[in-house]
Amino acid sequence: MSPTVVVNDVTKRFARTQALAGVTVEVSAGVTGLLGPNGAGKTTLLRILATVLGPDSGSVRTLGLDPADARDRTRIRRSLGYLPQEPGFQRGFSVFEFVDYVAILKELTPARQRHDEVRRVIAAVDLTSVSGKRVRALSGGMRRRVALAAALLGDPQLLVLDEPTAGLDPEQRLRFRELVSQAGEGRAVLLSTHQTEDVAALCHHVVVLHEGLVLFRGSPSELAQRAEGHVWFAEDRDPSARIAWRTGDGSHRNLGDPPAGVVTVPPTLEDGYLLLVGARDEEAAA
Amino acid sequence: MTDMPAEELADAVLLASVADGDRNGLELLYRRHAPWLLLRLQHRCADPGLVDEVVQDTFVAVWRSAGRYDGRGEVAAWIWGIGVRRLVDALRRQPRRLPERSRRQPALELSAEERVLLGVEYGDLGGALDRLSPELHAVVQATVLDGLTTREAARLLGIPQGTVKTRMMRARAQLREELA
Amino acid sequence: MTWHITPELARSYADGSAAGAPSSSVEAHLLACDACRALVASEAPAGRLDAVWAEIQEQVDAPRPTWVERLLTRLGVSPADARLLSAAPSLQVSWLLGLVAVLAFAAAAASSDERGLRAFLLVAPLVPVIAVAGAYGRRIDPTYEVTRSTPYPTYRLLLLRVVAVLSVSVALTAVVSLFVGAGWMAMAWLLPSLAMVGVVLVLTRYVELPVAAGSVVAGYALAVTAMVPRNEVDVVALAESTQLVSLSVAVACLAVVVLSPARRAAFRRLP
Repeated sequence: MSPTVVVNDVTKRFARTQALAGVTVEVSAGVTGLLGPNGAGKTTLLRILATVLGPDSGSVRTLGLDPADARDRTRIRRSLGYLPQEPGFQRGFSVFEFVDYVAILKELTPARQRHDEVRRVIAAVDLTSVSGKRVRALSGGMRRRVALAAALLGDPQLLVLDEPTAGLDPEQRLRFRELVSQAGEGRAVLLSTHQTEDVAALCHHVVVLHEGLVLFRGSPSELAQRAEGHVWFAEDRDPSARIAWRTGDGSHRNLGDPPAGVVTVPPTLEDGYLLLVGARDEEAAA
Repeated sequence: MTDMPAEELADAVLLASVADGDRNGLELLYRRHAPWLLLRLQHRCADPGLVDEVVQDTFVAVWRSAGRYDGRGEVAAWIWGIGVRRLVDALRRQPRRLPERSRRQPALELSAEERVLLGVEYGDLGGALDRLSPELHAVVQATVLDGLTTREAARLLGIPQGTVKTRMMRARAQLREELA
Repeated sequence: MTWHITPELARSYADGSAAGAPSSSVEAHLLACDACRALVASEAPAGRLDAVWAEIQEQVDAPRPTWVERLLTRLGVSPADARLLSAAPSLQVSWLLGLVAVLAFAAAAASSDERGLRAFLLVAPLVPVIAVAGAYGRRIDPTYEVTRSTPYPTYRLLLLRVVAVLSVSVALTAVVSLFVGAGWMAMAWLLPSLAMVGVVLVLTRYVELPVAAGSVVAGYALAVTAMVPRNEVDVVALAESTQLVSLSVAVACLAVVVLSPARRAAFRRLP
């Protein structure tokens, strides 16, 4: 099965910042996580894939089509759903009205079928009970769900979600993960996050982005494996550790090159990620 | 309210959530009350298209005016009040078709069970009601059982108000005689 | 409750064969008993009930059209396009009120004296331009990001919105002109304003809408401040001479916008 999206050596510059410095990535069916710290270039990459921006150089191939060509671009957009980082809503629109508005932009007509589709996606994100309420009167988590419903209109083959769980409390985040997991069945979902728990819970494929470059691509367990033999517990922060933090029970989790004789513990996804990004930061500083 | 599954919520609670804009609540109320409403309306108007329209208008009205239910009496009775008035309005605009039954002879034989039922719901009155002629029964049903005003009953049945009053007097007289 | 409806009674009530009094008993009982309601419901025509529910959903959900949408649909615009148009931020009430306030102020100034007329003629052309600036764009439209990822042609959305906004603001300004009471002179703002809007539209092919509108307004303000202090400038003569120039500029811009292809060379250049 050919991948849904192929990104080849894409660069993008804004004024003085090089947002993407040569990114090569493939996205296939299922949920792919784009992990990286703030400023890594995640949003830029997602906007390029959502055809909101064009790359400076390199190529993108989505659903076998070329987004640089106007006609292909329109065809891609018909099979695309996008949830931006800061979803915006017109003042005074109710949930139904907003999703209906996006449905018109997605060229879903006539009205009766469009309204049925709007009801379907609103039910899919479990917001039927508030479909008559004004979006701006809802909580942040519910507003995100409204935006997700709009992204699901027309049953797109590619879903691009930019930090969908940012700012949500743990319970809301759990619910959102369920929705995303359901949405991932039968289509390609690319979501960006800086929460490793999201990736561990949802994704079968991970891409780590840092300062515009891809540091890792593979499965979550492979990323965790990177830290195999590099994680240990100690009473205090170990001076030879690159990264360390206090855990809930009072001891310290250390990442780095362990001193001889220390018992290492199985690494988590977060360990692998932190070690990878931390190493890169050190290289950059040197 | 969130611990109980929605299907078990009392009508008044559901109606309150509908007043708050809960579309799920409206659907639940519909599934509970639309069937009997449709049947009851059909016993007063034989035109299925008109009856369907009235059911539709009734629940849209429920959606829009859920906040106006004052908590007194059953929600079902409140819904019936809306529905029967919509029926009266709809019949005003269209030629009427009364259901077959009102033109039939009164039931010749009541089963034993039906007799018991009559006794429970209306006591002796039940039997006496049944012995009224169709026009008198219709008037009693409209004003007493359905809760319509004289004018509304007149519209529903397609007769002048004066006739409604006269028939009510005759019905009362006959019932008084029977029950005396 | 001591008795309930039996399945047979439910059936005979439902098909209309039950006698008058038992039917009334059933009806009275159903007002208060949920279990029997469910029993009777199973005898009710399910197909009709589902169809009615579909209609109810549609009536309850369907967004109620705003006054703008109703006006547009009556003018022949499709309901879907009317919905898109009415969501233009500058068509919303707050914007409209702001525009009306500006115009009312200018009109009040104009009706007082000749200087006032000049003030009105200088301010009025800007009103449609400012209205157009609020029609579309990243800073103005909260749904901008998502809109850009949908198949609906962006340029078409922009043009439609501009046309709608322009019509409304021109109509508003024209109405206010009636109160200025200087005859046709009060409408002398129309062509210069159309010319400026035309320039803005052409510029939007290269820069964002707010930037385009801002530069045009700034350019106009500069030209005005250069000429106004000279008291001997005859407003009437100035207004007359600018009419022809404005008309040509407006037509030229319209030609550029309508005749040249809306396709861009590469979507990289999109704002």
